[in-house]
Amino acid sequence: MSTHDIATSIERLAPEEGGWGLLSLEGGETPTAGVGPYRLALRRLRRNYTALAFGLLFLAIVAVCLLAPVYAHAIAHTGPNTQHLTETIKIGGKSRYVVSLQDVPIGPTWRGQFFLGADTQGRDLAVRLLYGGRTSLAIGAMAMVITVVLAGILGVVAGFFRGWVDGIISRVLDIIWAYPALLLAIALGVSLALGGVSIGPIHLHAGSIYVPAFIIGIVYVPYVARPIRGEVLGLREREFVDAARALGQSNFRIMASELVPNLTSTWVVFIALQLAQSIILEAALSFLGAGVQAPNASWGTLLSSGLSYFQKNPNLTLAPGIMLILTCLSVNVFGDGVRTALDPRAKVRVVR
Amino acid sequence: MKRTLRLASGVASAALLVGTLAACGSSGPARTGSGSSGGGGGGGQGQSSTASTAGGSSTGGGGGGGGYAPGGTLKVLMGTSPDSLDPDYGYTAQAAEADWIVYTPLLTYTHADGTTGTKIIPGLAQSLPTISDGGKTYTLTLRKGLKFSNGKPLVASDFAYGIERAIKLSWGGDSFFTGNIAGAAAFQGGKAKSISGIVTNDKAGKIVIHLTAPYGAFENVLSFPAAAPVPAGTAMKPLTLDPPPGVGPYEITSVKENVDFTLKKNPYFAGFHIPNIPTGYVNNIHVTIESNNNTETQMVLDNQADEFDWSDTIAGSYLQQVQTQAKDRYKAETLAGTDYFFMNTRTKPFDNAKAREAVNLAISRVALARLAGGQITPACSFLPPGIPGHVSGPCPFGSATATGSPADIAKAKKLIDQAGLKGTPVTVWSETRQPRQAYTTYLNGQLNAIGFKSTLRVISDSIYFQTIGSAKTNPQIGFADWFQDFPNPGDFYLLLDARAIKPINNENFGNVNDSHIQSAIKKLEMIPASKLSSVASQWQALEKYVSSKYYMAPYGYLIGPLFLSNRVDYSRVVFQPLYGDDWTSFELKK
Repeated sequence: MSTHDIATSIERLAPEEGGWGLLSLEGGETPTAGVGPYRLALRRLRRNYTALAFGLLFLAIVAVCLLAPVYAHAIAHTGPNTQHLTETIKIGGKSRYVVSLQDVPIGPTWRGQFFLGADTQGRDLAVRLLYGGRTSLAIGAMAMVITVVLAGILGVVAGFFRGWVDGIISRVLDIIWAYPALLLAIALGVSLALGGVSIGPIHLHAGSIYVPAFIIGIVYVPYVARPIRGEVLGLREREFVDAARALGQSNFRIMASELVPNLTSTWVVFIALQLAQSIILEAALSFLGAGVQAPNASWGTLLSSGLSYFQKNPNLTLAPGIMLILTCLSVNVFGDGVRTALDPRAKVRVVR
Repeated sequence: MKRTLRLASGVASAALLVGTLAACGSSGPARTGSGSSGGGGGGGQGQSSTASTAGGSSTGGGGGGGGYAPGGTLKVLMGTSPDSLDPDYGYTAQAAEADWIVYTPLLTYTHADGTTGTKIIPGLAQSLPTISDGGKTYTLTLRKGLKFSNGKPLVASDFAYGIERAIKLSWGGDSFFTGNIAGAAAFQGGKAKSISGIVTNDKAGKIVIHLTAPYGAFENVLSFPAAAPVPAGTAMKPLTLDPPPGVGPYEITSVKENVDFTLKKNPYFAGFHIPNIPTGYVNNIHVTIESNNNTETQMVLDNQADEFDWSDTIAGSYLQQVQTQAKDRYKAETLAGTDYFFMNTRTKPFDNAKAREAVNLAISRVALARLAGGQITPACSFLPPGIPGHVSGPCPFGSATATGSPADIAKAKKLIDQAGLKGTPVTVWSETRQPRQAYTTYLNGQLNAIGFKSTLRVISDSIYFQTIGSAKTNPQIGFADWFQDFPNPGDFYLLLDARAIKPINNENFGNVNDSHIQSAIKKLEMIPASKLSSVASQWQALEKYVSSKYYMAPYGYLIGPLFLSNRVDYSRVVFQPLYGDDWTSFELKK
């Protein structure tokens, strides 16, 4: 079969169908401009209504949490740590204690004040839920950034240089990986929560939210660095890397301008998935007392403090639990949608 | 879509795991654990006892009426592990509850509830001491034929060795010895090899104790488990995991720190025929540390355990259930103990009286009582009811008891501003257990409201009092409580006595060193226990002085639950006012 025959037999596929804008070269037609991979991915993502819906849900959760101060001031008229232990509120014309004499807090009022009820310290649960969301999301995001950046650097360097550099980096990652992430995070959380962390000129005081963010970020580095390293090991053998070397580019330039852009899709996927992982781990650490410290609010501390009242006031546990589920679910589903959209092997058809 | 759903359900399951596992209510970390009275020697019910049990001292060993019989294993739950079961080192209510029936001192208390339980009787001594030399010399004679639980014969010099050991190990109450027994201070300072004020004759079994000055409560001091004899040669270090042998109805057979410990009947004790000290009904007592007070409550409700830690607090969410479902085996006992917030008078900002006053104004005693589910009585003064010197009457910091009584934040803020202390960083120390963490969370919020920059530091119950009692920690403010060792205000004033300030195991957390208090204590502690009521007004005056200086922020008098399983003959149980549940009175169903 001649090259011409092959070319004529390649069907031009529309980009919407996953094609890469391949030409049908029949009798002298001019080639058509292709669509870039990211634009293609965006188109695929736009058609994934489930992923979009969950992505919007996540954005809605973030927006609502960011508006916590507005809610606290304008609607609930209280702060996240303000205690109303001896106060009463009027519900249906009847005066009720926010916290009863037996230390049982009021349940959901479904009104501005104490919309979801109060906790045992007389604090507005809805306000704490939103402020807690800010903390949990902030820690999750910071941890994700730490993980992705550190893992990216280590993975690229290890995969590119190989040899003893790869050996050292991989062994360090193996040591971290040898410990279950949760146990390692708990151990670090407990030891660093009291004394804080000092890294050179940077000092994170005990009780700072940067401490759990730092811990979670470090703990997940191997889980991201190893796949990136694996990809780099393959990419470094590609011809564009040889071409860059031939052009006399430095190693750093090659890594930055040749390898990193080709890892973008991997990073994007990890960003979404790692965000969910970090939020869950933060909740677990805070629940166990090794993350966010009382009386600061996070979804984990809310779960922990509401636990002992689960029978009488299930709202104290259900509210943060449901928020956690919705947030992590939405991030994971959206992240899965992004991964599917970016997968270059998703739709390519060759017609004989 | 199918793949997304699988993934979604997988994530949902994973995220639900947090709430679901949490809801299982496991006896895991002590984060929401139960409380214990730290720092106090024994249990306390004071003169305002509400006990309705038949009580009275029981000689034990008989029993068997109404479906109950001697024998079996009593299953006890404690919310906090004893700091140490070594009698010369441990000084918490949990430690005392066990040590009292393992280490009988020369003198002890009646095994009875109410005020009868505060009566001192001979223990290992043949009789109460002969007091001479103007109250400065105490002479006692040991009973004959006594042996430790390991079979070693007891001699008089073992008593002296026990006192020396308690001083060497820096027992929390050692100032009772060093401040009163001649030569004890020199021994503590390393200037003497023994305590010159204790003279013993092993052959005659005679013990003579010389004091530096008359001390009215010295018989109470001799009744501490820490004053019990231990075999000479016992290691001069805390034997927390392998406590020394004692002379008591029971002996300690195994200890797993922070997990459990076991007592079994001392085979020798019944043969000594010591009157008024029961030998006990049950053969074994197994104590498990259960820091989650919900689990603790549920286990006793379900009769999986026999005793709820009386120094603990039943969570408000369970209280009604206990009061209805187990009303025949639950009672709230008034205890002679006080919850308070200490303030370090040697450290900023609480070296300033205005700051201390502001704290007292900023806390609502009613709010704190609510956090305890009504299981403390709101209070303003340090000495609880039933202790001579207790001050009743209106609280100077706003009503202590009126429902809805708020704190005076505005006035407190003004004081902080006047003192120029706004924005001062403060660390509030707390245990993990509830409701103590709830108390300190409340305090933390109030301190921030009045202008401090306050943060909460929560540490494990098992090391809490050692940590705040260490000079290295130098805590500013935090939770503390005191439960009477004996019904004498001098016992409570250990916490304000400058002589009690030590680099470790310090009980005077506020580091209070006030010459007026020192001279008053010195004068009043000479009064014999039998004449306490004659100086009650002087103790009251001292109380008012302490309040005027705001040296501490008392907020509640303790109420303890006598909550048992249906395996126990509730009618025979003795709630000893100084040591809590008297395990020698527990008899189990056949």
